[in-house]
This record gives sequence, structure tokens and C-alpha cells, in this order.
Amino acid sequence: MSTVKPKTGTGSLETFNILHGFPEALVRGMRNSFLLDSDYHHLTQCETLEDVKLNLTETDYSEALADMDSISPPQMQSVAIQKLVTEFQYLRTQTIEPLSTFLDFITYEYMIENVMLLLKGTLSGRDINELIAQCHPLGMFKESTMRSIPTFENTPRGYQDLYQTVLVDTPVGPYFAMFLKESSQLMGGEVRNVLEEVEIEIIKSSLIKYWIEDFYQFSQTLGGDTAEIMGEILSVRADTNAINITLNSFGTPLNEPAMRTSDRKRLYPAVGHLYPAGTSMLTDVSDEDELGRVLELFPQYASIWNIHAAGGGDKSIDDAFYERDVQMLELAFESQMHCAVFYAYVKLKEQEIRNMVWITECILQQQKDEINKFVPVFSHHAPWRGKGK
Amino acid sequence: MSRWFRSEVMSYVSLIVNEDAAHNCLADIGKLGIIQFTDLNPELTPFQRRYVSFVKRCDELERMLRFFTAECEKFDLIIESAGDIDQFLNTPLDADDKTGSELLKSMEVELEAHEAQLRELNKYNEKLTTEYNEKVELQEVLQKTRRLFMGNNVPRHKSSPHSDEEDDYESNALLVDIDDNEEHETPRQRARDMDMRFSSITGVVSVEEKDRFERMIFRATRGNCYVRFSAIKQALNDPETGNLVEKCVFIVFYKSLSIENKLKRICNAFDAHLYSLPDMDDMASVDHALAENAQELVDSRTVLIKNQDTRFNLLRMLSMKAERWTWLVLREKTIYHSLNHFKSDVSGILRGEGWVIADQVDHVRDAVNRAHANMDMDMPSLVDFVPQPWPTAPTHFTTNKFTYGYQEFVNTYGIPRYREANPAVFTAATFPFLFGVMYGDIGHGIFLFCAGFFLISQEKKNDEANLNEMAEGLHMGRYMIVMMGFFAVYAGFIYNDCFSLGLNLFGSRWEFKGQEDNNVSENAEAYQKSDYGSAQSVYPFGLDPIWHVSSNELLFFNSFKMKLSVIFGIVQMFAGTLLKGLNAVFFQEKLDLFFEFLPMVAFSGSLFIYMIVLIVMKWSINWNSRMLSATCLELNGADKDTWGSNAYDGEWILCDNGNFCTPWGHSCTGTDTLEEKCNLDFGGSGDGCQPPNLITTLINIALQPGTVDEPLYYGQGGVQLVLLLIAFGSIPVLLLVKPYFLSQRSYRAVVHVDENAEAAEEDHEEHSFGEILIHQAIETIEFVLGMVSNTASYLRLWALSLAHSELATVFWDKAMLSTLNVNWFATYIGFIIFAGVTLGVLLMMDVLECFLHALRLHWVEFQNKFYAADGIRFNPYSFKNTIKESKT
Repeated sequence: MSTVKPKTGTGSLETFNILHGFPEALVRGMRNSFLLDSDYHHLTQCETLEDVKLNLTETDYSEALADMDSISPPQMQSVAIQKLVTEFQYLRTQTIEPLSTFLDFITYEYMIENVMLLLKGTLSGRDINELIAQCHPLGMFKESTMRSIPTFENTPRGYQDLYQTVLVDTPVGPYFAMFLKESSQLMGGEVRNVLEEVEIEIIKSSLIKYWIEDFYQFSQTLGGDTAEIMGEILSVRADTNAINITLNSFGTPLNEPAMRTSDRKRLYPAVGHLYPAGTSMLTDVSDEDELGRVLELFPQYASIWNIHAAGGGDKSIDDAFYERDVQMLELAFESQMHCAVFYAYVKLKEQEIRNMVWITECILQQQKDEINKFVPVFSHHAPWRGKGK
Repeated sequence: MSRWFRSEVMSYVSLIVNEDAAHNCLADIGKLGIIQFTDLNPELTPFQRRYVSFVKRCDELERMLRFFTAECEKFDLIIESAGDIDQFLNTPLDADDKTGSELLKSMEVELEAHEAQLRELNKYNEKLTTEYNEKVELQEVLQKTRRLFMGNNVPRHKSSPHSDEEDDYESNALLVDIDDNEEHETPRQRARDMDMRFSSITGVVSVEEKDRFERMIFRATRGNCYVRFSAIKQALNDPETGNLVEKCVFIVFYKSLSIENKLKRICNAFDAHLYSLPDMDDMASVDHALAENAQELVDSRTVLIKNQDTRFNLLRMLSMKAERWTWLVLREKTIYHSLNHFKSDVSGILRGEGWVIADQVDHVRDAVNRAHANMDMDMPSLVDFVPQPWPTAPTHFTTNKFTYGYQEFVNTYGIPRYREANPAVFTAATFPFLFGVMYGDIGHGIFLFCAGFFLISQEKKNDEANLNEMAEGLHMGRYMIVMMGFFAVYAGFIYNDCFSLGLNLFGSRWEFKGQEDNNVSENAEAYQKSDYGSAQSVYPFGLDPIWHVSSNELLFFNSFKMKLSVIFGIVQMFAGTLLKGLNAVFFQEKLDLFFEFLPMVAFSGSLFIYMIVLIVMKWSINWNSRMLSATCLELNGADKDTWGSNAYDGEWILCDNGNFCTPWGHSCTGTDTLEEKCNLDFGGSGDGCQPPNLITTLINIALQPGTVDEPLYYGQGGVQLVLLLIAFGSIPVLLLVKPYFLSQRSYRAVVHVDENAEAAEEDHEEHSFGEILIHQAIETIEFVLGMVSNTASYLRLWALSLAHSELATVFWDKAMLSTLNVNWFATYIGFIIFAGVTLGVLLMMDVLECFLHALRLHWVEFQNKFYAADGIRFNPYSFKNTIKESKT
């Protein structure tokens, strides 16, 4: 396993501040940079993107947007993400072990996504510069590494080479190695054929699975509140992934009985509330009804599933998941003396950026009815805050 | 003075201007900085406002100016100052004749032209740099490969390794390697000629990437190739960022085509530039290529330099104008921003409202009229007073250089409520004074005074300079520092303390026995040179230096300084309480005046002012005489009419037994109590002839009301009982009366407004009475307990003064005195230590400490007696402020 073993935990109430008080104070100060309910309200009232930009000049994004002459949703997204990355990197420079490793763990997810984006992009023959521009800045390797990734052939041999020449140097290399090893074992030691028939999405799901498991182990070794809160967050994350993988497999080869146990089961993370009883049940699920029956047994997911089962354009299961995530992350952000606040910060900011993009897209496409379908962060009107307060 | 004591009167006016004249009108008013506009369109989001497009255009102009500044920085050009802001605002601009949009338009045209030109030049520069870099790289590649291949000849013939350079040495080793390889693979085919059977690619890669590049090649080809690097000494400009990048030439030897493909891909990924070379065996062609390239290099360099010159000239021109432009844009932006606060009720007419300094309304009116006159428009008077003011008027003080610092000082605590007594006026005098009481030392004070004086001499320069936060603070407090220094010197003279030594300026009035012949024995007592109480016995100014060498120095100084601290404290707090009364009179708050202010005065007067009275009284009573009067003296045959010294003020009277008497004629028996011997008959055991312990006396006011053990005057017990009753009586008044009247008042109001809903309102009223009472209880407790604890708090004046003088003494004794007697070198070192710690501890740390404590005494002990500090700061619409803020 690639799990990094921290020398010491991050401590809890009494000891956390000795080493990590300053970065925590910093990130807590950034609580002020989130958009307020009134900001969202103003944004949804906008008629044009120019108005959006003007409204954002009243918020923390004003400096980031100041030097843009025109604005489009992707541009705004990249600027906002860039701002997040700058803040994150500032935090990263202020931290020491084991918190710094914790922050690095957050970035691994984006690295995996970037590698997969590059591989997928080259398959469809897109330009490498365009692909690099699309990559998430939090998961950037050195430019030369990024450029090397798509140069490998889309064959099992090529992936092997990719791992051996490029990814072995990167933090996500171990996950890739685990994937290759496991695949080859499954195929009876034939490394050559491993990747031929496996789709990129499956590689990605596996890598993310390894990442979640690894991150989970790491945060458990940190101990204290960090273990408790991050454990919960990552468990839910793992369950979400398991449910989504199952849901998305319907109608694909992955749902075929043979593939269910051999491949789909492998993609379920080995942590989370569903593991092991739930995931083994999910293995045998073949359509949505069966999935629903399995989730009935888990109250926390039953309600989310009901939203999906109820259908209707009101809310998708993704929205339901997002909403639950935001609630959990807000709680994590508001409690003290643990590392999960950093994770929560990144994820909440991401949600905020998603909201801004959603709003601007709605404005651009004149879809005013849809504009309120986002999950505001730290909103006073959130369902879990109790209305009318 | 009255302007400093209470803030300026503000009036709320409405401005009606023609839409066309609005811009010029506001351009005029902005110079004055006397009006603060209210936002009349709070319901509109920024982008719905009238002049939003103009604000956006200003933003765009600002973006361009930022771009220019950034470009100028690349050339290390400093943006030149556009001079004084006042001057800029007051010199008539050609812009004044134009309307707002015309001005913006002309600036847009000008700046856009510059920006386009600059961007084009930059683009061109990028292209030229790329070309130039290619030439340089090619040149390097050619030279280095040529040398490499030239060197190759040697090892092939296996002659002695020649190595004038490390490069070549390595290459030799390489070629031997290659040869070996060759022989394994095709042992016999290979002829010993110049024919390279290995293919090679050459190129340039940045030094930073070199290691990773090499590693990648090794991995990709599984070691089946050979790479050589050689650094280019001259760093190259990166065309896009303009940063210097160090690069190195590489050459890779390989065999197969598949490796070549891999290598090309890797080179691509690493952004390595590949250069194809002429046949290396043909020296002539290589030389030719070199010469040709060298020529091109020279040409392209010329073009590049020319381009850079043009850019530099353009930027230099821009750097000279940029600040002026920035100010203009800021001015326009401020105007439009303010116009966004205006409302358009009738088309073509704009209405704005805001607070104006009452004295200056005429200026505003003038400005409005002038603007309309210039536009040849006839409109009636357009500035009117509006009776309905928006919540509370803002607080504005006219300050000068001296008071500005103190005003800011007070504002840091809280902005004064509109028209309330401004503590800054008093702070200006008492703050440096209290500082001086704590810091009292002539020597240290002079240093501080000089430092402040230096800051004042630099005033002009600092006003214009962009100072950092620390320097800005010092600059702002320059007059404060001078004053602090002055009072420190003053208090130093009072304490007679200079670097912890007494100064014998007027000649001590005390003398030790044998002082003349330098023969004072240990434990000798000093005696006064002239009679007690005579004019000659008083040291003219401050304390007698003899105290610094006496053994009861500390006892004496502590008693003196403690009493002084308490007196200053009570006087200052009492003054604060009086200010509360002044505020009550000014705002015509009768309840506050009669049921808050008067009880407070009664309370503090009867207990605390009385304490001062006692202290001063004890100081001024001739205890020598009083104590002598209760002392039994033996006559022993002295003159029966005038048988004593003149220390006793009264008439000397012989007693009945004629031999053992007190000065006033009481016959002593030897077992008389003090009460019997004293003729004052004030009561208690002391009876007036015994100096009292003031602390005990004060405590006993409350503990044993009506009895005084050691009275100072006749009837002291009775007086104190009355005072105590007044003090206790004032507390319930303070606590209950005001809430009662307030609740009465609100009850009546409720009844008037809504007679039907009486029952419902009763609940509400009950509740609010409780609230008022709790509020008042807090006020009362704070005042009553505060008087005690705050008085104690003023003892810090003594404590810090003691700390200061003790520290100074220690430094002098240990660093200077102990080394003075050793030798010159020890003295030299000793002085360095003395000067160092004096500077570090006393002149820096202690100044800060005393500063903070003086600040605390003002903020807490003084200001809580009267200061509401809930005002709103007047934030006028002023170009000067805007431009100044943008600078920092």
C-alpha cells in the first residue's frame, strides 16, 4: 500500500493549535470570502454577463475579475478556480507535516482527474494545449510531464510505458501501479491485455477508489477529530461513488452478469457505510428498482434515492448529493481543531464556483426558470438551518 | 476652540441640477470636500444605476493604466509623480470645459491608441525574440557539436586523451563507449572513417528541465541512447514572460527509428527546440552555416534592439503621464459614482441629497450656480435645506496639524456622537502630561523631544512621501511626541531626575555633617541649612536633590508620587463627569442632568474630592508646631517669657508647675495621654496633634462612620458622616429616578398614540421598564465601583514612574558606575552597554509602555465618564481623499 504514515497525529482540542493553529486561522478567515445569500440573489437578478461581472466586483472576486475585459462562464470559472488555487497554495506553504501531506492528498484527486482528462482527450484526438488549459490547476504536474502523458499509445503496452516513464514520478503513480497490478492478477498475469478492453472511465473510478481508501487510511492515522470528521466525509464520498457507479453502469457492458462481479465490484471503495454488506448487495443489482431496494436498507441514502426515484425535473440525484455534501462540509468547516476544515474549504469553494457557473450559464442561455437550482454555501435559507429563523 | 470642542453643525440639503450640468457641478463640489451624498437609490443594484456605463468605462481606463504600469515595471521605469494633489485639483484643466462623456471619450481614444501600439510592439517583440533566440540557439548548437565532432577524431585513433575542457573529456569517454558498442554489434563492418553510424538529434532544452529530460529519455529508450549536454552560457529571454531562462544544448545518439519517434515526442513534451545540422563531416559546410547564421544573428539583434528602443521610449512617455491620467480617471469615477446616488424625479433633472457642513452651504450653492451659468441655463436656486434628515448627522471636526493626531487618536476608540463633547481637546493636553508623569526624566525626555522635533522638521517631506504604516503613525504623532518629550522633561525637573541622577541646580537646602571637608560618616543625618518653614529652606523648583542620596529616598518618592497620581486621577475623572453635565445641558437632557450628573458629582465629590482635600490639608498643616504643642518640655531655667524655639506658632505659656510644661501651658505629669497634652480638642486619640494615617482615616469613613481617630480639623467626624450619607443617598437616585421618569414618559406616549390597545401595550411597557432599569443598574454599578477601581488604576502613574527611575538607576549603577573605577577600557565598554540598554529599554520599550498606559487612562478611566462614541464619521465626497486613498 502507498499509505503515507504520519509521524504524529494532528492532535485534537488541546494540541492541534500548537502546530496547525495558524493555517487553521487563515482558512477560517477565508470564511468571509464566500458569497452571501444577497450576492446570490443579485446574481440571479442579472440580465447579462456584464451585470454578473459588475455584481461580482462587490464580492471577494473583484480583484480576480478586475483585469478581464469580457466575461464568459468558462473564463469566469477558470479565474475563480485560479483564485482558489492561489489561496490553497498559500495555505499549503504555511503548513507543516502532517497537515501538509493532508493538503497534498486533497490535490491527488485533481491529479487523477487531469491524467484521465488528458488520456481521454488524446483518444478523441484533441489538441494537447487545449486539453492542458482544461486541466484543474490544483492537480497540475510540471508542464513537461503533462505534455508527455498523451504521447503514449492507447494500448496496454502504452499504459505500462506511461506508468513506467512518467507517472512513476508523480504522487498518483502508486495508485496507477496498484491498478495495473490488480488488473494483471485478474487477467491471470497477462499484463499485455490489461487495459485493452478497460475503458478510461473504469481506470478513473479505480484510481479514485484507491485514492479514497488511501486518504481514508491516512486521515484515520492522524487521529483526533480529524479522523472522526474526515472518516465520515470520506465514507459518504465512497458511498456516493459506489451508488453512482452502479447507477451509471445500467445499460453498459459493466452491468452484464459476468462483469458485475469481476469488474464492477472492484470499483466499489473498501470504505464507507455501504462497505462491505451494502457493496456486496450492490454487486448483484441489475436495474434501478433493485438498486432502490438495496438503498432502502440504508436510511441516509433512502431519502436521496427517493428524490431520484420520484423523478421529475425538480432535482436530480446529483443535486441531492451536492446538497448533502454541502451540509456536511459546512458542519466540518464550522467545527474546530481538525484538518477537515481545509478539505471542506476546497470543496465548498468548488461548490460555489459550480453555482456561479450555473447561474452565468442560465443567464447566457436565457433559462431563467432554472436559475435557482443551485446549492448555496453557508446560506441562511438552507433546508437544514430551519426556515423562518 | 469651540469648533474643536463640538463637531461641526451639519445641515441636510437637497441639490437639484440639470442633467447636462451635473457632471461639471460635481466636478466643482468634489474639490471642496464638504458634502456627503446619501444614496437615494438603495433599492437599485449597481448595474441598474444611471451612470453605470460611465463607471465601467472608467474601470476600463484604469485597467489600461494598470497595464501601462506593469509594462513600465518591466523596464524598471518609475511612474513619475504628478505633483501635489491640491495643485492638480486647483489648476484649471482643459478637461473642465468638456462634458464628462467628451472627456472620457478623449481619454479613451488616447489611451486605447497607446495600448494598441504597446500591445503590437510587444507582440512584435515576442516574435523577434523568438527568432533571435532561435538564431542564438542554432549558433550554440553548431559551435558545440562542431567542437564535439572535432574532438571525436582523437579517441577513434586511440591516441592519448586530450582534454582542454571538461566537455571534450567527457565526449572522449563517450565515443570510446560508442565504439565499443559498435564493435559488439557489427564488429567488422565498421570502417574507421568519419561516417557516423548513429543517428543523432540536436536541440536546446532549458537547464531546469535537464535532469528530468535525461531521465525521461533513459526510461523511454531503456538506456539505448546516449545524451550529451552542454550549457549555453548566455541566458535567453523567454519571449512570452520576458524572464531570463538558462538553456543547454543537447545531442542524443540513437539507433533505431522507433527510438527516434519516441525522442521526438519527448522533445515535444519538454518544449525542446530541435535543430537539424549540416553534415558534420563536411567541415566547410559547417563553417559556412556558422558564418551565415552569425550574420543573421547580428541582423536580428539590430532589429530587436530597435524594437526595444521604441518600446522604451513609448513607455517612458507613458510613465510620465500615467499618474496624472490615473488621477483624472479617479476623479471621473468618483463623480459618476456620486451621480449614481442621485435620483431623477423629472426627466432631465437630477436630485441629490446629503449632509453639508453648515458653514459651507454657500460654497455648494455657488458651485451649482456656476455650473449652470457656464451652461447658459437659467434655473432658480437649486440648493435647499430639507427638513427630514437621515438617521443621524455625521461627525466632522475641523482639525489642524496639531490636533489632527489627537483627533485620530480619539477616533480610534470611537467616533464622537454628533455634537457631543470631544475628548480630543483635553487629550491634547492631558495625554502628554500623564505620559510625562510616568516617564519623568530630564535626559530621556530631551531625547524624545529631539526625536519629535526631527519629525516636525521633516514634515514637508513626509507629507508627500508614501510612508509605511509604522512611519506614517510616527509622522501623524509628531506633535504628540514633541509634547510628550516636553512634559517628560518638565516632570523630570519636578522629580529632579536626569538619567536617575539628581541635579543640584539651585544648591541643596540640606547638608550632611562634615560635608565641607568630604568626610561624611555612614548613617549621618542631613540637617536643614535654614529654619524650617522659612523661604530659604524651600528648594526653588522641584524636589531637593538631597533626596537622591538619602536612605529614605524611596519612601519619600513613593509617598509623593502616589498622592500625586491619585490627585491627578480624581481631577481628571471629575472633569470627565463635568463634561457629562455639559453634554446634558447642551442636549437639554434634564433627566441626565439632574438624576445622573448631579448624583454622580455628589458621590465623587463627597468621597473622592474629599480625599484630595484631606491630602492637601495634611500637606499644608504645620505638623512641627502641632506636635511640639503636645510635647512636654522641661524648662531647666530657660527664659520664662520666651522659653522655646520659634518652631511653635502659638504663644508660649508657662504652666502651673512652672517646670514641666507643654508650650501652651499644660502641666505635664509624665503619664499624660496625647489627648490631655494637645490643646486642639478635635477628638479621637490624636486630638489633632498627631499626623493621621490617611489610608486608615479614609477607610474608617465607611467602617466607623462618625468617629475619627486622628482628626485634622474640628468636627471632622460629623463632616465625614454627612458626606457618607450624601454619597450613599446619591446611589438610589442614580439608580432609580431616571428609569422611573423614562417609563412614565414612554407610558404616556403609548397612551396617546393608541388608546385602544392599552392592554396589549402594557406588557410591552413592563418589559421595556425592566430593560431600562437593568441598563441603568449597569451604569450605576459601573460608575460607583468604577470610581474606586479607576482611582486605584491611576496609581499606574506612580508605578510606571517608579519602574522608570529604578531601571535608570540600575543601568547607571551597574553599567557606568561599576566600570568607571576600573580602567578606561572598562569604562568604554561600560558606556556602550549603558547607552545600548538606555536606548533599547528606556527610550524604546519604556516609551511604548508609558504611551500605552497613558492611552488606557484616557480611553478607560477618563472617557467612560461621559463619552458615547457612537457617532458616524463624516466621509465627504472629495477628490483629494479618493486620490489619497488610491495611493496607499
